Amino acid sequence: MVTAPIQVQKSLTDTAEFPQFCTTALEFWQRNLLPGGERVILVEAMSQDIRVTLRNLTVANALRRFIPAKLVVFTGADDDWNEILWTFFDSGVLSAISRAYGAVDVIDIHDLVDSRIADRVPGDLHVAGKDLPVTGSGIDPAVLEENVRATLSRVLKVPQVTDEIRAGAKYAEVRQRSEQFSNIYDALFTGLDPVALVTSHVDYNHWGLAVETATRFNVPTVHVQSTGTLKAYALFPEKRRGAATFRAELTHQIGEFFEQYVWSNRDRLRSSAELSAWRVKGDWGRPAWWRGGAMAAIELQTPEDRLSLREHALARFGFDPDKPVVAVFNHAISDAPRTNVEIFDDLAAWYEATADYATKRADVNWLFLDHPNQGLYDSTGFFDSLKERLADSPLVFLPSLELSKNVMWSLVDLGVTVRGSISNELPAFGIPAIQAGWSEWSQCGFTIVADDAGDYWKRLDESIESLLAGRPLITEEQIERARLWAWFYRSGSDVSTQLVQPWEMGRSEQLLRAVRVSMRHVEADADPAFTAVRRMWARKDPFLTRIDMTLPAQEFALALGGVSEL
Amino acid sequence: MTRTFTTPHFETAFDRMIEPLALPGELRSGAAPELTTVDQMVRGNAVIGRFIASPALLGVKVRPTGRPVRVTAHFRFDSMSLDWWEQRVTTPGPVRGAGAPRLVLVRAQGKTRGAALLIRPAVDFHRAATGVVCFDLQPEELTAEGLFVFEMLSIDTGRPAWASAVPAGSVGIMMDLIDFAEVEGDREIGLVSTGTLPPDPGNGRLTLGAGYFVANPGDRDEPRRWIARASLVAPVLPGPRTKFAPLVDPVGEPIDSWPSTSGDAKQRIKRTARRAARWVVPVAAVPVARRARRRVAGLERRLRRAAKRRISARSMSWVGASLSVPRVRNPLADVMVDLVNRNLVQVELAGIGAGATPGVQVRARAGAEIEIFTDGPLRVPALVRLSIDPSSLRGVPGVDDKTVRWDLVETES
Repeated sequence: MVTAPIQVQKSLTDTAEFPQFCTTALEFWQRNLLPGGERVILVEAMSQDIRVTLRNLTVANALRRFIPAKLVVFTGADDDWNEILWTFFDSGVLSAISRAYGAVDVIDIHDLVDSRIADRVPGDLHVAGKDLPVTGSGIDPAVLEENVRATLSRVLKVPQVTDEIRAGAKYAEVRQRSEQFSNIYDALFTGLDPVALVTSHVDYNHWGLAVETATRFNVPTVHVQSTGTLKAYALFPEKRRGAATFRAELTHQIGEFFEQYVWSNRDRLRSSAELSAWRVKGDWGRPAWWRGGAMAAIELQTPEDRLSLREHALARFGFDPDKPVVAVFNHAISDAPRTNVEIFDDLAAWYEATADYATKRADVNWLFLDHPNQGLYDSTGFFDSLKERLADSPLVFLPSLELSKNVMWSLVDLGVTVRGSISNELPAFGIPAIQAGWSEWSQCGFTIVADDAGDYWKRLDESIESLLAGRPLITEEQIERARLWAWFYRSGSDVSTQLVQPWEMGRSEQLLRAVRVSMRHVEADADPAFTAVRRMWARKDPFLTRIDMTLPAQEFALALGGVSEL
Repeated sequence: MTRTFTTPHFETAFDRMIEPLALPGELRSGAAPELTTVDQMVRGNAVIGRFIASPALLGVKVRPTGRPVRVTAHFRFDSMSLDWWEQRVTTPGPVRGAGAPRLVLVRAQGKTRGAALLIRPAVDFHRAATGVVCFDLQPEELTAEGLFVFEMLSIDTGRPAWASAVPAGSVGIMMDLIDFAEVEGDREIGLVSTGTLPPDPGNGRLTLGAGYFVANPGDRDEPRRWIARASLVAPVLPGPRTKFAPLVDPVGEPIDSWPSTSGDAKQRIKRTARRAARWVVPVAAVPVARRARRRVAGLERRLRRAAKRRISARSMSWVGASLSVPRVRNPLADVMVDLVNRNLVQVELAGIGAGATPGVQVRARAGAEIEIFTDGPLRVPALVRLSIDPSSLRGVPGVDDKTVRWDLVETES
């Protein structure tokens, strides 16, 4: 079965709104910033979606309200990304909006890489009025190799870079480009003395190597999120503890912050967390990123509701009603390998090993669900070939979107994932989840996190034994923690500012108009974007927060303005 | 009830308290709060909703009374059903289009409750086919805490080759209304399904639109019996990509429902409509087809009105003459006993799903009728096919190139 293709909105440059927006933004920011100093803030603009760049620029300018710095934007896309992801990348638009936000220079990194590769005697870079010598990169060769492999995985849409791929021309090309990226980023950080790097992504060569350079140069990196209104994670050099990657560093800090300021405030946050949980059920704000429409809501209200649906759902797949259902959620198999902590060689290896394990555990029903957007991440037909290989087994393999959430949730007794958002959703509603790797929330105490492959198998064994013996795998406290994380992710760490507007406003003229009206007609003082960025910076918090989470109880409730009693 | 391994905690402090539907009661809107849960169904407002896959289901909070509950579900196969199906089911297959049957199974509380065959009426083809399934729930099957679950799925496997139907036939089917009442007496509707319900249930023709009908399990533990009448219809040869059911009328039977319409005017209506239908045929685009269907329907209405006006201008003697046209004898009436005796009238019964099915026999009656009876009760829905080998009719006077059409004339048992 297929559904009608989604219409992708194209560039906004041709709209009447765009030039007006740029004019207004230029006027607005001229009067809302410190005069530019000697140092710079480096801002990434390498996504085609204007909402992403709008967020990055807004965070950078919020920093420039209290740190004198020039804005330097780097943009561009290469053939690989135009092929696999971008449909209308337009560096002209990104450049125009960057200039409107006060950029003194906009450089096309991909062009620089291309010309340096083509030119036998590559010269210096000329950025923001400075000549920057390019003298190589101080990157650890092993780190570079990891990054090349991750990039190649994503570009080729394969789970693992095999020896055959490594021997091929594509590997050599990506390797060469990656070296140049790292050289150029090192030159930028050496010559420009950046205050911060603001980026929408931290993976693959063109984004990830900038983050790697920033980390080596002890420059704070702000990772702005493409969801909600204004969400951003930040890694400050002072807060680092030597974890392998940007994301791994943050997982620790997030866990600590959660414990200290969210869990400890649970009594004051209870009604807010309940409301977030209710909104998650209704798919308000799209907690399941890839799912929308009529099939996305969890409408089951009671355990008995679930059983009523469950007997129908079990029959659909020929499942044994006397056995529990374990659902294994496939990840997008080339998605950002190795920037999170994973306990298997690659995402496909984890999934395949789990399927092989499942064939030997006939005491449970197994439901293997593919990632809704796998087509963008896999060119190998991994899921289908696994399904075919195990066709004689009782394992059920299905694309996730063939199940409504109601039917899926009537079945699942235990969820297994690496880092999928399902491992927040399931525990929030009392269904345990095992993680074969780290995620933002993996240290917040509501999932079963495996330390290594051996631990994973042990925990799978133990969890299944518990299910069969009727021992609960999740506590009331864990359910509350999962709901608090849902609140924190969707509310506590999402800053509601008029200057970027909610993601769901779309890449539209309405978005530009709303931001323009706000810049023209609303006084900027105490805009949440400004207060939140300044607070995060001053305290070196790992993320933006909507309110000051460190406030004493009484003031915390006042600042939240929530429903304090249920 | 299935075993519990994980007890979820779906409740939040902000959930709406649902007042369950009280008996007797009807669910007739997708916006009704007691319709708490849907799967592969898009909710409607004036109707319950429309299914977008097979299987698909809906869950309703119903307040149990401690006594058995009779559930009567009404659903429709209309032109939008066809559009939704065409949009979603792209697997090529020979059986598709407006005239193709939908054969669906209804399950509730984990059990099969009945089946229905939906075929859009050949005459008045712009109208919907309506279906109904009726079944009783025992007190232990409905709890205050759980849901009443109504699941519809297309019968795509395990049916005989003669039981033609589109795959994923529940896609696009519109759920109109579900009625809940205390059980009182035996069920009267939903025991058979031939393609659509007659507009007047007490006095309508139950034509076997696809040569077979669905028989659902009855209330009593006893054999079943149906009477069918055979008649002859002239063949219509649709084009290779016809999207319309052919307009077929029985030969030699005056249609009682339009006594004031002259025969030749009716013929003209049909000819024109058929021509218009053919004119539409090669156009693949759905919106164009939809516009054309509307045009055909409008044309038909206009011609019918024009025919009425013409009749009123004519003399009463003409009307008298038209009403006194003698009933043409059904050529099959003379040969039915012989055909049945020679085993040339075939009756086949195939159960849907697992479970034993009874044997079936046939006996000839006067007036081209046959009586079909089983040697035991039906415990699962069954498909019953009636057929006469066309070669056995060769040489029967009056048959020529006509084909046999079956109508169920008695279905109580």
